[in-house]
Amino acid sequence: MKQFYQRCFAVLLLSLLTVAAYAQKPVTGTVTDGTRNPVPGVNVKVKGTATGTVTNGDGKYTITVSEGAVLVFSMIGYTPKELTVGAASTLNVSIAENANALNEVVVTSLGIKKETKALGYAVSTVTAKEITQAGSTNFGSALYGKAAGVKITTAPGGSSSAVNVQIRGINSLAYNRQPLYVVDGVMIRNDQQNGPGGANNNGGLGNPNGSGFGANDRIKGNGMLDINPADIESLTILKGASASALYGSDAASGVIVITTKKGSKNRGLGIDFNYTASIENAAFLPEFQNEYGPGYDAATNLGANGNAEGWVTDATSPGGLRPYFRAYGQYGPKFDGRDVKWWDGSIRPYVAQPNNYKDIFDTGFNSNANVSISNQTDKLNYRFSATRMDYKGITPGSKQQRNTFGLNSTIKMSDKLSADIVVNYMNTKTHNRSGLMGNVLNSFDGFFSRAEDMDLLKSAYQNSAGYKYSLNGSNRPEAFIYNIRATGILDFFWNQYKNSYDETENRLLSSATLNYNIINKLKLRGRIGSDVTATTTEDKRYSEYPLAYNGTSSTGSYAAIKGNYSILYGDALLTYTDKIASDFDFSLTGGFQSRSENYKDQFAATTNGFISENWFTLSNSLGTIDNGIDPNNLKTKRQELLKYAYVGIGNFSYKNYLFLEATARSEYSSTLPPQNNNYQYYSFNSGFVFSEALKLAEPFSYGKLRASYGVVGNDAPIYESNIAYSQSPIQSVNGSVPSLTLPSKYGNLNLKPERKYETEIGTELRFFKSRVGLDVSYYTNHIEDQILSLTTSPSTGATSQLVNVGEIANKGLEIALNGTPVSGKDFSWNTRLNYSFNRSKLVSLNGTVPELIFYEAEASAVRISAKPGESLGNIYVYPRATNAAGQYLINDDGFYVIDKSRYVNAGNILPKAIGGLTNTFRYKNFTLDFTADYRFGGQMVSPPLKYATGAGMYTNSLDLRESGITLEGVNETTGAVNTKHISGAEYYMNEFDWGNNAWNEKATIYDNSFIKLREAIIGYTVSDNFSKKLGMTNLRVSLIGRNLFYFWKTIKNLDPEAPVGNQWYSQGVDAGSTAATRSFGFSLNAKF
Amino acid sequence: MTFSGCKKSLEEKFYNPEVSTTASLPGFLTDLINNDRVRPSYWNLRTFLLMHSAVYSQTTFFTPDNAMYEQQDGYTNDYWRDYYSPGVLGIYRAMEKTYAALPEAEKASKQIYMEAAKIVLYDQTAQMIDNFGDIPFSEAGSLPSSNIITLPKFDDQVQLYNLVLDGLKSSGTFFATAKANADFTKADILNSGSLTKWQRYANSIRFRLLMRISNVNEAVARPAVLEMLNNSTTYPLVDGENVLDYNPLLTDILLRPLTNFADDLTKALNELPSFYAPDYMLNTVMNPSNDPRIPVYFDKYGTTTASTGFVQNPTYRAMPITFTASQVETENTKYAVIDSATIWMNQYLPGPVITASEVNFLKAEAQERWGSTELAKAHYETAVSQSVTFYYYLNNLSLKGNKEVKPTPAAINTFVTTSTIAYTGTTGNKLNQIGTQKWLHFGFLQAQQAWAEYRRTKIPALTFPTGGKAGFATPPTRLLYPSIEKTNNSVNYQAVQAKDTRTNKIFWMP
Repeated sequence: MKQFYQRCFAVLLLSLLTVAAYAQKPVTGTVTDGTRNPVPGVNVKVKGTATGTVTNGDGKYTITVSEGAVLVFSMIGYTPKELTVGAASTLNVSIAENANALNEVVVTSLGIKKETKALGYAVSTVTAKEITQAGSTNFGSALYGKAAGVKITTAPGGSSSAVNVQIRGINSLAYNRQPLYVVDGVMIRNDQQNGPGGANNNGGLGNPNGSGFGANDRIKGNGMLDINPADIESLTILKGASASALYGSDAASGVIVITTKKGSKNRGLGIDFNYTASIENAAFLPEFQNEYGPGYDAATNLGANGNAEGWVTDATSPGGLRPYFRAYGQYGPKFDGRDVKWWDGSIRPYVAQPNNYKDIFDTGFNSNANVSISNQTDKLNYRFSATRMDYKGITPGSKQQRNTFGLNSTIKMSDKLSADIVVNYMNTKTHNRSGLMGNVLNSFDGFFSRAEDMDLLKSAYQNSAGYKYSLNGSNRPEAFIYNIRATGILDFFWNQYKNSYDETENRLLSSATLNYNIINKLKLRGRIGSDVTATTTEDKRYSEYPLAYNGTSSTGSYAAIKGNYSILYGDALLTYTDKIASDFDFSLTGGFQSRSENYKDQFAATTNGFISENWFTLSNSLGTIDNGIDPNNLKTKRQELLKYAYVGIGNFSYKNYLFLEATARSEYSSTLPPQNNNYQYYSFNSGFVFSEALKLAEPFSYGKLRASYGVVGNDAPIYESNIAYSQSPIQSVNGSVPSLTLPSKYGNLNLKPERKYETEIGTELRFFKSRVGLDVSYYTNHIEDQILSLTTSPSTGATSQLVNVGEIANKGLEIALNGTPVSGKDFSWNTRLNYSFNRSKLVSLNGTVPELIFYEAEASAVRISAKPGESLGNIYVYPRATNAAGQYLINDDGFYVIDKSRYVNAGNILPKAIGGLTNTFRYKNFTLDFTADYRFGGQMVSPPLKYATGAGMYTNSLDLRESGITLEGVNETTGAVNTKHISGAEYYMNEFDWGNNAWNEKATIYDNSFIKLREAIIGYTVSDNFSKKLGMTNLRVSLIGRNLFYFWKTIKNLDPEAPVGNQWYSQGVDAGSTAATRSFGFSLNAKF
Repeated sequence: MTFSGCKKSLEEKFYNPEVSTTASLPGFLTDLINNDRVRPSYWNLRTFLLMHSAVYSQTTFFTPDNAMYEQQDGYTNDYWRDYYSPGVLGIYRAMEKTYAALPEAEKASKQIYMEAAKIVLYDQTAQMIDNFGDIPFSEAGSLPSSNIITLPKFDDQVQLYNLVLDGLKSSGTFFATAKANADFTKADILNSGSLTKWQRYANSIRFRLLMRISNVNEAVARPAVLEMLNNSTTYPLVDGENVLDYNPLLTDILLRPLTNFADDLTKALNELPSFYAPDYMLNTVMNPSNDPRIPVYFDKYGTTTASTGFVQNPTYRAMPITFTASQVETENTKYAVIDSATIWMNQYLPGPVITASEVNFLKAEAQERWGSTELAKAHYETAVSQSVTFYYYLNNLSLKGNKEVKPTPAAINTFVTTSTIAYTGTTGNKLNQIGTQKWLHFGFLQAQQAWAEYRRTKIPALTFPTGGKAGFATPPTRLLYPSIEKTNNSVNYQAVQAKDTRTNKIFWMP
């Protein structure tokens, strides 16, 4: 804002003083962009003067200048262009879009606008075009590969699933793992209501063995999904501590500052219409084997059914044999097409069903329509936008709809007083959101055989009366005649097709900003904003069988869940701007910022099933209504938080090429124990545009050095440091009695906030008339007093305690390279490549524990843990035991002996490098954009891959089936060379089995590198002559594709992006996800 | 804007409004007693008893499987957590801290909470030792004690057993002269303030544990047991006053379900599945003696077809333990299942802590080994009759299914004295009868006790099919420590790591 006023005043003053020294003439022209579309709102200035104008809605301008004068055409998001006025009175200009344009203005902390040039730290900006062009349903998944040092992960499941953003490595081991989102100056809710557990995290610290099995494992969304991409004007990512220091304890993981689109830049009414439609399919599926059906190794088959091959003798089956439907293994008889009796009583041929996994999923679609109206008058400038999204994911039975309305207006009350009012309303309905398929893919009760026809499973989840399937032995009508294995998939269909889980969310984001220009040099800005969400969820589960089959309890359930979340934000900034000498400018700002957050959740559900079948109401509960107050599973809860801070900012600049900024913040937070609830942050940064200071000539177009130092932090999650007791009224034989219990997660009344100290240096260089650009940043930081819910042995009386556990450190390099190799009238090519690497390590621990264990699986055989001095993300496993000579020990059964006395490092879940490549080609009216992103190095832990390989699901288990194998090594007792020959089935079923006797080093850890074609867009701009006949301008049609294919990936049978969760290590652990997708579609943009 | 109230507001918002910072001994005692590891709850049965001790003692049916004897680490983690964090131990440490902070003048009147809590704690602690051997105890619970983490050592199981035995003795003595008060009576959801029941509970658990160590440490067990048996007024026991037709509710220690509990064991029993009758129990022990408990233990079950509807099986039979998985699959409807009224659809089913029948079996064993065989016979016959009474009592609590009519005293007497279970033969035969009938009485509801006594006595003479998975051919003799403790207390675990095998013996195993 400050900059804006400085400029306005300069214009005002200079225009009064300017004297017409030369003969002046009117010059007109049209400014177009790379796709030959007219660009409205471009500043056209006479260089060296304050004379200027702005292009209108058709990109046209008229200005009166003298011959020989230089016109500067500039606009945010475009490389400025200078042209000398010649004899001609028409001067048409093409300006190139550029996300890294130098003289642009970016919105920084507290909504303060600054010239990029003045910044002493790295920011990444992403343009509106980049966010919307590929038809992403949210802005997060449009950021893949587009900003150096920013790692995006989209949970599978489509538009309703959370998108996680990780900026510059690991900033907190346990909490506040997502960046702060600031929309139009107001901090918004991302997923704070979920508390420290976050969304989509199974297991994790405090429960490193948790697998999420049996949990409500629907993949949750997060708050950033609600921000409509079509309404975003610009997006700035503040990466380092200096950039975000003014946000203090919320900014340790970076800040994403979003500015929504404002009213039109020129007078008159404008209408914009955008439509995107795409279809989505399951993609990158495992390679299933289709040769063998259900069964185990010969000995197990014999033991189970008396037939070594795996058949079950059954006189009622044609030929007297039937498949072993209960087997999870796929080592049974080869498919031979014979007729056999199936578990539903039908006679079916014994053949493979190659597509049965693919057939689980539907074809999804996404339709997104956006209309906006904007206008500007003397007093009022506004934009109103309405968007409708309809989405159907590939997960059977799931869909989502969202309506978004936005109003962004500026009211000019007087020359001294103006107000910005922004209101956004979103209404989202989600039906049966996608879930993790851990119960299908990560569980032996989910494995369906290669012989199962998905159409049969999709019909068998309910019987002819609409009740849930009945297993063999249940003695209920239509029970399966044989035991089957894949009940997990049947439960999945029952949940997705029959039951309903309907979420409605209404969210209102609003902000009002008052700018008051008290006197020339003194300005006051006050802002209040709020983010209010009301959610209701209805969980309806149908009666599973008739009441006649009930025991004491019944089936079916109804739950009504309500959430009310609100953030009230306010700030006030008083800024004084002046000059000390003609070359020395400064400004001083003092301010206050406060925020209160309030999260209320209420839960009520039937218990023990329904009294009357399928009547969905709480009054139909058989048991006492569960009101969510069980201290071990608190669902009805209140959370409140208050934070406020005093801030001060000093800005100094010398000759507009040397800049210095200092900030300070004294913050108070209610989440910390009272004696530790006030703490301070500060930062310094400096930018030096040496190309101007040293007057460097071509090929040097621009050169700048940056240096910064900053401190940010992290307070505690709400209430987590409390030490207190939960009381519940229990209905005992003595009547209602209070029962006082202790928390299993223990608090800490001496807790201190986390502090992150970061130093960053960087440079921006441009060559050859800015056709080649380079931006490099190097940072190093350490974060002290890591707050962690430290897992402890239960024998200490609790499973975890919140402690300041120690210190971690990161260092990293970010490089962004951009170039315009070709820039012609008909053909141009823009390219941008970015690369970043980050190393994180655990520096020290406070001595309570020798090491931190973040994740553990397979009866402790696999863990992600760190000791002081080690890199974060290291994977440790039990190795195969060896003798003194290094030979592998083999047991009497012919399998490796696993050494459970020690761990070996088997990799690291974090990538060595990430980044992306974006290219834009233009040929006449056609454009081709594509973005590829990559990840090199690092591993993924995937127990589900182990189980499925062990069960013989994939082609990778075919090799040893005929030959068997004799493992190389010596017998553990005799020391003789191992001669015990084992079959392929025995090998896979044991070495890839659940638990710590398997060869986990090979079976659960997989290299994870890839290069993926993320987006490709072919666009065609209809010529204005034609589109005007339709009453439109700027008509553009595009074909879009997302997640098209992998150029290369190292991990087989699993999508590298399968994991969910927002803990720092979540993306390195697969817990049984759902399928990844590929989408195609088109989009249409027009102005009226 | 004025924010003068901000600082105060910060402190107000620090504490969760849903929790309390005030400690209360009655509130803690209620929480400590209210234990779903004692009640027949879904989770404890489904994930712990029916997958471990009930299988290892054959008090439940189980489907033959490669890994049928393999311990479930994740579920063992849960069991371990439920003892410590907070569990009975964690809550007891909080009570100790609360008690220590009381003014000296108040301590005497509050001791009753501590003594009652100690009995429950020691009862549970002994069960932990029976499962695992050495466990962290003396240094355990540092967080509720002192708000800081101190990783505890594993205490020696023999010394810990001695501590438990001594503690139970002193608590029993305490309750002989203690005075109740209204707050205690309300908070005591186990015995509703009955001090004699607490005294008998402490004495009887001590009796059970003395017998448990009697095979390896007879020198300690024998005199202590005989002292108790010969001074029944000083050491009253949970023995139903030796009345055959006693009222279990009045004299047994039973943890009853909460009154708003409206569930049952249907899921717990049919998920694995576990609801079929166990072979040895029904075919070998109960059918030959025509046991009058058969109708309350089991249902005949039957087959449903579209044409005939449900046709009940003619007799009570259990599937042979040698059945293959596919035989189980096709044959199961022809065999008996656990009784729905008594057990799996009985929402009032209490958790048996200790019952008169068990105590009388223990008396019988003590007398047979160290006293008079005539007295042993009397105790044995009392015990079997009380078991019949107990199971008919459970059956009659139920709202579901058929309530069976209890056989006449004469019929029970005929069964006890003249059937194949009659107390005759050699001492070995007699001890075998005692052990077998006690095992039958425990069933899967007290599978931990059944498994412990089976390991101590090797009675009854069970045969176990061989498990196919390498290293898991037979049931274990103890449970492995759960990974959650090994991982997070690795320093202290190292001291017991060598003993942490599935074939190592608990110290009381001969």
